[in-house]
Amino acid sequence: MNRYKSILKIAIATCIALAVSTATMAQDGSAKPSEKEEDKSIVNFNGLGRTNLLQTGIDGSILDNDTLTPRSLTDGEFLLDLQINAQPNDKTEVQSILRLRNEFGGFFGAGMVIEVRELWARGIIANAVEYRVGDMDVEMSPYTFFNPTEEGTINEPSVFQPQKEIIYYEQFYGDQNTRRMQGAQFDFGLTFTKGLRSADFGAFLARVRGTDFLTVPTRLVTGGEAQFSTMTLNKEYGTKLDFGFNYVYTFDDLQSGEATSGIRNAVTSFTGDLRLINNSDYSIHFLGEGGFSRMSAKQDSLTTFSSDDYFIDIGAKFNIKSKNLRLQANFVDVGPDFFSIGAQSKRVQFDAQKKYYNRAGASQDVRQATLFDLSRDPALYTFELSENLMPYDPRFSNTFPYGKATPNRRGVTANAGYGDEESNLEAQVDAAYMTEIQGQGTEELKNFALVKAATTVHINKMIDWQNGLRFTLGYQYEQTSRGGTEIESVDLNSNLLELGLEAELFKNFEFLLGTKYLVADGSDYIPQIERFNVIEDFPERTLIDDEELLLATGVRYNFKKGIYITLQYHSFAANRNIDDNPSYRLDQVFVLYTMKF
Amino acid sequence: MGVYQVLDRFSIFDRTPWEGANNTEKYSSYFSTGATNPGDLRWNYQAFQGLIINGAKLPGDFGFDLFWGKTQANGGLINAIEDPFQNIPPSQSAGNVPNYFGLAGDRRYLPSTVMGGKLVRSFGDQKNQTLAYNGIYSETALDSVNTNLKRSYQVHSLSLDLNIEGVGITGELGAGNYKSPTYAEKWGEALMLRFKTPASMTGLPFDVQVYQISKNFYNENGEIATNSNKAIRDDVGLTIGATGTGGQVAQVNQLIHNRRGITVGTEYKVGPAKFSASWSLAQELDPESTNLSFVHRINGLALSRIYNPFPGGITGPIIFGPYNRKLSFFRGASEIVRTTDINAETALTENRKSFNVVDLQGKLQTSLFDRDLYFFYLGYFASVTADAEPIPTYNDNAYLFVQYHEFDFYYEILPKFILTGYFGIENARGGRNTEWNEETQKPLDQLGTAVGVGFDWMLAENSGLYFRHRWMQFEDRSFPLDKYRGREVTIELKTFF
Repeated sequence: MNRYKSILKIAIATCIALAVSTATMAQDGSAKPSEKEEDKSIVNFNGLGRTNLLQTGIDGSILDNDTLTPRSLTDGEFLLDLQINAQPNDKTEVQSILRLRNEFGGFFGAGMVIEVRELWARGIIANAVEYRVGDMDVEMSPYTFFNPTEEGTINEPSVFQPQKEIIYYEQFYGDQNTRRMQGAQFDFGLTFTKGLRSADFGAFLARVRGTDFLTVPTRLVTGGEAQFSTMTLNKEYGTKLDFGFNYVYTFDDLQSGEATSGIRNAVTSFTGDLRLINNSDYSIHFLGEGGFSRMSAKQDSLTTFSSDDYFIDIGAKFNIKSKNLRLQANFVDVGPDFFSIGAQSKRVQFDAQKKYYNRAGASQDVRQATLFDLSRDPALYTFELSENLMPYDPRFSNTFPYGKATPNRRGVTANAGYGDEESNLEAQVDAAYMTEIQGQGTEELKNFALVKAATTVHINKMIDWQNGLRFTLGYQYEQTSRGGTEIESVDLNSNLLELGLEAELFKNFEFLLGTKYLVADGSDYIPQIERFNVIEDFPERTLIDDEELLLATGVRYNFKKGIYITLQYHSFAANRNIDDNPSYRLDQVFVLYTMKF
Repeated sequence: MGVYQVLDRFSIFDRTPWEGANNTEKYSSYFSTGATNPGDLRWNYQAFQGLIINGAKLPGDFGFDLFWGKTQANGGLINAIEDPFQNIPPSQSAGNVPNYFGLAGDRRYLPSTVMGGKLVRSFGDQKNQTLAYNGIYSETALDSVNTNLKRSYQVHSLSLDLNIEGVGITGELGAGNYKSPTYAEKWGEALMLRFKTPASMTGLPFDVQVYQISKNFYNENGEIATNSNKAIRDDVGLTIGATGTGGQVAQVNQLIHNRRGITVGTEYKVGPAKFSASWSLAQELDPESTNLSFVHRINGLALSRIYNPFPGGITGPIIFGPYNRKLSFFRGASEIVRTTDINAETALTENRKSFNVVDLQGKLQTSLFDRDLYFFYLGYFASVTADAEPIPTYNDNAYLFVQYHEFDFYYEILPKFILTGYFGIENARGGRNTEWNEETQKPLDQLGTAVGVGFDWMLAENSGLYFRHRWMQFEDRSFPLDKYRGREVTIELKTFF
């Protein structure tokens, strides 16, 4: 009886809270229905058109005695994504994107696809609760539900961005670290006049996998967050506290199909940001996130596997506003059994079948994913959730292969940032020194050192040139080491350098130049995952002595914002110096026309 | 680049009835110009995917076109996933969010491309006279893995469009070649000049075309049909887009390689009627054709809808029929006729063949009870003979004789309601030196007829309902299995906005 009384009290409190709420928040970065009320039209047509024509060739000693690999391939597509947005009233908005696509070389219907790429509806209930159903992009904290940025890029030169834009668009990657989901989402916010300034709540439920009506059950993910912000606690110092709570639960519906086994993964976290001092010159924050996860596998009602662990990420941030300088340092501890499907699923599937030259050589071995592939092949990327820790390539990322939520890491991170888009110079340095918490196959622990630096120099601002002239630099150094016996020891070093130049020779006509250079040398053991984050085995030591060089040049004409055509040539060389592994070259020429309207 | 297509030579009864959907405007346009609307111009264009760069009004009155891409002959999606639902990952892997990485035709990945362009200079007071250089190069990979194995062809020409003292002179003088790993490169010429004299100069307007095109000239993306050279055809096979094979019985002004010929045409207008007539005589440069082919103009369009010329995974035209001698292509079907006066040892022909065509056309635009009335007649006679004949003839000398007669009728019986009618008949007869049926011991003797009725109903300014019903019948009286009867009904509701 007491339980029912409690539920009744919560319901009444919620209704009162809704009634007094005075503000709502958009659930993503796009416009809320209310923001378009002044627009008289109720149906808008927008979209994207794209023509992409490529020719790719392969050469090098890898082709010795190879009679199967095509030396040259053409590819391309023509597509139109027509976005239809309708607002039948000022409380409701629906949108669909119809895709018409034809493959380059497909005539008279062959290779043509017409389908719905996106469909959603959203609105506001009682001027208080925002809802959205259908396709949606979800992001929470980096440890709970997050789409970590891909490896192989630091400060991407402009010449590589057109092809990366295609990857991002096809995989629904936004400016932030969202994941594309299908389901329902609710948000509402409250404002207060004393103590707390605001409280914002959000929840979502999405299906990430359908049942096959046999042994594969439907997989769902649900989650919610509550974010609170206080009033200024000390007006002299501008002291203020933001804190919140995140919860994500991924589970298999064992009532679907004939399935009897499935998983449960719950992740809970608490966030806090104490702004100790905030004035016009500087601000000081103490901030962090901590939480825990629980992973279990079910066979009917029996739990066949279970693990849980915690994480903590706390630090301080110092922002010198007058100097446009930001400094931050954190202590990070992510337990070896910490498992968060929504945050640890990677963008890059290193074991995916590549669209171009997936196999090459006389023995038709699977070709290792390279800088070239990462820069242009959408087939290597995904937005999906993986129930196992996905394969990674230590040449590109060994310290944080799964983003911030990489398990079995303890150490410190630090970063410094300078400037913004208005400055002549933008710079960002990130560093981390981490160790394993639990040895893998040994009691010895791996140590990781990571330094990332990115700089963008707006030369045109320095020399007062009216056209754009920009130089970009990205550099990453990573070292992995482990002591112990000869078998236990690990020593791997990698350097990744990016250089880019973007020169607007004439109005709207740009010359683009860029390069990526990777050098990796040493050895490491790459764990083989059995399931979830359980290591099955450590295959033999991976010896690495690789060099990859990607050069690109081209021109781009910008008709207007979002509409451009670019003609580019890319040349890539991979040298594998271990065991006389053959080297090869890849070249591509492409024309890409993109039109956002 | 281009496709031979002159709509004035085709009935418009059920050829996209909704084209120019604006009451009788379509039929009036056909009466005046032969085209149903400006959009018909696309039928002279080759389907192309790729990059086109066009420059115009450049210094010195120069302009240029450059292109790189694929045409249907070097495109294709062999082995592609053709079920569109399979392009989307099964729902158990990604919800229902689509991506396209499963869509992959082997052939389209091959580096089979066509490129070319033209450099043109305009001159004259109106800048409407031109001289141009045209070039095209096409290569098609022959092996899905060894892409160094490829066949290719190229064409280079100088084209002109002049007006000298009122005489319009157009033409193209060029050469081209074909080569492959199994066919040595050979160059051949393609020369064509066309003169149009106005009625004020010659009493009647005349259109005179002379041409000579070598059998070594090859272009599977051009207006000139280049399917006659047996050696090339054995090397390439029939490519997509081919409307016939061997010695094609051409339409008037249609160019075929391995021929030298002349075409003369004129027209005359009297009252509400217009008449035109054309005569053409051509002869093979070298004895090549062991097969002849002609187009089924009466029921070919309907047949091509039944025998889809573009099923998934095709590499050439579809051959169908009980005797495997009918060929389906885009909006048409043709018949292949095998000749028998060939060398018993080499299986090659030893006779050069002559092709004679007479094409007639009559158009009437009048009114009845103050409502528009149109009659159109298309007539065609053609023969293939061993020796040149002055007019199309069926005698012992002939390999083939073909004739068509088509009558179109359009009457606005009610406001915005146009009654349409059609009657067509075709007859094709093979000569003694063509294949005989074993049972009847007779050569080909085909009779095809079609009767059609229908209406155009303009429901609103830009909306129309179009109904056509065609009864068709075909019989080869010498080849008993080759006959059919059928109907084709189309109902189209079109709204333009």
